[in-house]
Amino acid sequence: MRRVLILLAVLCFANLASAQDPANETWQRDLDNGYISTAPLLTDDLVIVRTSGTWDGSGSPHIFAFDYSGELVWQVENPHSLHHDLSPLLLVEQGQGCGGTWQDLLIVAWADGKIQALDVITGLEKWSAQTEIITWGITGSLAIDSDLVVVPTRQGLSTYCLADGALKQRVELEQLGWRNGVTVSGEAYLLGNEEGILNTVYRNGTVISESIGDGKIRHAPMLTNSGILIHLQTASASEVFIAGELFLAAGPSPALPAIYNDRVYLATSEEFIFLDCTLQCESIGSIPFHSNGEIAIQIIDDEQWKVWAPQNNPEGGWGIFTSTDSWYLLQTSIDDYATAAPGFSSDGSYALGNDKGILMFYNNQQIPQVISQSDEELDYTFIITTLVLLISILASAPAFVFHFHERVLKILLPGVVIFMAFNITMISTAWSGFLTEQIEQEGDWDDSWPDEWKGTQVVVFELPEGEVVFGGMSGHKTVENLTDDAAFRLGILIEKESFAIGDWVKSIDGYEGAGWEFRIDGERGLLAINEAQVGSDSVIRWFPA
Amino acid sequence: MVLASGTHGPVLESGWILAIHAVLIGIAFLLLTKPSHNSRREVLLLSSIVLFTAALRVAMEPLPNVQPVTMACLVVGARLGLRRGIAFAIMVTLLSNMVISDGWWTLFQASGWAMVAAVGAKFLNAEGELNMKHLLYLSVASSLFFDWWVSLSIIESGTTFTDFILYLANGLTFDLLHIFATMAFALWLAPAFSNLISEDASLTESALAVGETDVVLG
Repeated sequence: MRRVLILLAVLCFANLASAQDPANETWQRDLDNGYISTAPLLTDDLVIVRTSGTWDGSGSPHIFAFDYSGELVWQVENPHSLHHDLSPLLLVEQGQGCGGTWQDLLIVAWADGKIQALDVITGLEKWSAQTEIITWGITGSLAIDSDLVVVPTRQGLSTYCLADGALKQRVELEQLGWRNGVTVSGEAYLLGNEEGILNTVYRNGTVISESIGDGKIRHAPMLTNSGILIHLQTASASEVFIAGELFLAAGPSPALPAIYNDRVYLATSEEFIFLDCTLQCESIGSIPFHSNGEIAIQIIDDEQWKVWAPQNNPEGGWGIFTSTDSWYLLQTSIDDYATAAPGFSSDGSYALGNDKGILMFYNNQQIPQVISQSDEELDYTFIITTLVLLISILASAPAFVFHFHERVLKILLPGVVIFMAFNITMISTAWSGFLTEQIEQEGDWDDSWPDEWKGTQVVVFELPEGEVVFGGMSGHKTVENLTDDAAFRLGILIEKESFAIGDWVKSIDGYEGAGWEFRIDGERGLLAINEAQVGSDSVIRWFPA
Repeated sequence: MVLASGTHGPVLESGWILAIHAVLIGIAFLLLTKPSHNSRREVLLLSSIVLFTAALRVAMEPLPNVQPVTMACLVVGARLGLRRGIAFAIMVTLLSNMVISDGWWTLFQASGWAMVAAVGAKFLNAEGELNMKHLLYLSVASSLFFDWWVSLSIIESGTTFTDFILYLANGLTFDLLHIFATMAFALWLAPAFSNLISEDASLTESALAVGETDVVLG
């Protein structure tokens, strides 16, 4: 009888296990369609994500919608979109207002200036509108103002009725914008631009412009209790302004800031910054971290929340911060550069996307695969090899005292070799950096380039159809990072090859030829692209071998 | 001939790599045919140390520029002479590069280590125990020479003298590692390696003498 009961129990358990809802499984999809640079959106039953496209002719930007089991439900392609599809997707709940009523909508802004309102369930277009293109179109984040969608365009601002897409307001601005997200305040819309000017656009069309500083505003201005917060990207660093006053200086390439419960979260290539703006904003700490993309808030309950920031380096992953002394890095087995924030659902499920174009979904039951690191990561290789070196030095000391030179070498050399062999990347990078500093660079400046590129990082691609240049970048330490950034912004595909000594470029924009070489400020590159260091004002020139 | 610019210089078409292999194997074969009294034991000895050294190089490959072959070439050159030393260097390079990576640079590595073996034959070729002091000096010089010799493989039509000097300067940390590793191998392994070869070689010579006598008597 006992055996029968045990057998029944086992069968019941097996049945329960097999009956697990497939929709609750963790999954990942390689979209093979360029970067995922904006947060996936999670509705009650869909995961919606946008990709940048590959720009080599094999894939244009897409919006994909999957159900929670990972099945593709619908997809929308924009074959006419230009580069830089970075505008975050926007979900709008059903409602009514100007133009009538609307069902749940997904608002998509494209780099070709097009605005689309899609039916969330089917992906079918409800309405669309066209804004201006000046090299490209919309790249900033949209906002909702009651029954209107507010669109920061390339050189202005437009509002459309959510119900039918009718243009409600149009304001032309003087400056060009990139990632120029818009914020809705009580009486006006706020947006910045590439010239460091904050525009306040009133609903009656009046525009007030205020110069914040010598830099670029590449996020939606943030409303705090102390005034409007701007994280200004300058030539080689960044500055945080509150109410028009400089509040603090920070590292290069600022991320898109986030605010929750009067706590403000900022990031750069060097740090993650915490501000408390409960009354007057004050800095309450920072942690060394590298994030240049979107920062997102995951609300646990009324009193608890977590802040997620994508790590924009080859290690990838997402930093999860709860306080200035408590954070960890969530990593997956397929990490790469990450700039997109996670998307969260109300039940605790979440989705991640990275620069490899891989979408990952975790349900609320799943513990992330790998959670590692709190505070700064310890370099165990360095510590152990240093210990080996010290031990070998100590062990050889008696032989040194008694002038047994051969024995000194015999004990000391293995320690030196082990230390050098396991830390050669660090040593050779430091040596290469030292050499670069010693050598007077010839420079590779072209007088036809804009003056504002001076003092910034510039990349030149000598393609068969002509030279393509992108400048004004900052914060990159290696040729690889700088080239990737420029290529992404120009929509050029870089194909790389990995060798034991590092990464090398195989093809640029589909051109392989006899190989590609680079010069840093006129000097031929001699190291792998992930090893070769660049300065804050370096010009990288890629040319066919 | 050249397909593309690679990490160690031009990437060659397979036909050219085959030609390089053929030339190197031909040289090694010619060197080993004389003197003509090679016994099976000597062949076995040379084959064993070639296999051992190639395997050691492959095993050490994850450690950048830690090259046990440099020390081995010095010792083999010293103990087995110029011809076998050079043949040893060529065979070890070809065999280990089959596993690690093969290309235009194989020619430079094989010739580089062949010259190291020649240096060993010329300056270390003494009866009895190895002169450790000389071996250490030659380890330093040979490692540096080998690295710079192999660096010649990156030279192409567009490479200027400044480019090449900068390339060498950037690689100095790797050169240092090669030097220290070769010195460590010399101190820890060379005496045993040398004795092993010497003992085996002397046994070979004894056996050979008997064999020759037999032939004369016959």
